[in-house]
Amino acid sequence: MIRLKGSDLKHIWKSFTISEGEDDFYTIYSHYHHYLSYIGYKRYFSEDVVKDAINDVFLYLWENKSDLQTVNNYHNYIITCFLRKLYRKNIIAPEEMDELQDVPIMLLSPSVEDQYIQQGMNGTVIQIVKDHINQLAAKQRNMVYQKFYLGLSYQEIAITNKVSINTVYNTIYKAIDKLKSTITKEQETYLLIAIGTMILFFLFFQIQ
Amino acid sequence: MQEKHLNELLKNETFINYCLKRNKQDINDWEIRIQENPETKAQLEELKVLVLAMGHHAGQKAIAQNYLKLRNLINQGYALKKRYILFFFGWISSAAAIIVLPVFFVFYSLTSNVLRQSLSVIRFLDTYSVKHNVFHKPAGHPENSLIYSAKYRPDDYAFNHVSKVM
Repeated sequence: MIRLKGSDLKHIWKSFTISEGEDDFYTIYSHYHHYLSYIGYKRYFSEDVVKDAINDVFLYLWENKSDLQTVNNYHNYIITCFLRKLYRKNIIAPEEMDELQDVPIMLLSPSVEDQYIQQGMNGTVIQIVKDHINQLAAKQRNMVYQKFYLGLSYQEIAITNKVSINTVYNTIYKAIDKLKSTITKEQETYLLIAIGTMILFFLFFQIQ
Repeated sequence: MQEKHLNELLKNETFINYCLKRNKQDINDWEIRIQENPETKAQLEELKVLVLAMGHHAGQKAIAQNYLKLRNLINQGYALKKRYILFFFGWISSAAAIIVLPVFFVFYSLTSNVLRQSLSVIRFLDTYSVKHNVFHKPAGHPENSLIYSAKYRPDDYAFNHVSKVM
């Protein structure tokens, strides 16, 4: 996941508008994806609508990349463009823009969490979590994303996914339960291997 | 804290808010709780990492999947544009052919008689100059192409053509 400082992103935006390269485009896309998703879900738009609006914005940016050099405030440009696509109207009221101040800045600032994950967990557990997330059904994974990344409430997740709060709760519960049991099994396996090795070692010296 | 109780924390909204640093009240409450129960700190840290890791990987997957959709849209857009251009190019070329071909045929039918007459005159002058060999000299153009070309003509060329033209 690419997290950048504002100044870095400014350079990348400039580079994208000049060279029109896809790498810069993807960096900007991944930088804004969570932020725009959070705005959309907080306004109770469904998953499909939010994702389509994000892609509409970036499709527009890609198709008009040669005209973007005149854009000074790319952040406001992207946000306004997203809200227009989301509400399907050309004029966005100022109060709708003001609500954006509630959006957590950590979704746009450099994250210490990524490092924290790397430091706090060993490689095996990270791989287990990654595999587990990849194996989840799309709906389940999206709810995990909304809960454990965007930090939406159970009620907000229920509204955006058009299901009951109990369904959200059960879906996330099952995902966590399965993950915990997988990690526990994995740890038990390692423990058994370690114990087995120790016993073999012990027996070997006993025979000697 | 018991294992089951710890697992329950993964579904606790205030604990997730504390992990994601989303709600000041929840952050303060959990920090106080950890200070009061330092023996739980290690286990809670482990759970916090698990919450962040799940969110991190789910987020990565969400971006990757949505970008794939965007890539397909971009490719479709290119394909559509290409098809659109080819479609219009086909129409434009057909329209041009419809306009240009009749004009060409009309022009040709109108001018073919004139061209044929002009060619006959040129051929007459050419054969005449070859026959008399003096026709172009007074004009002061010794390198006249007609005279030069006459060198490479068969000997009976002039007589045959003059007789035909006459």
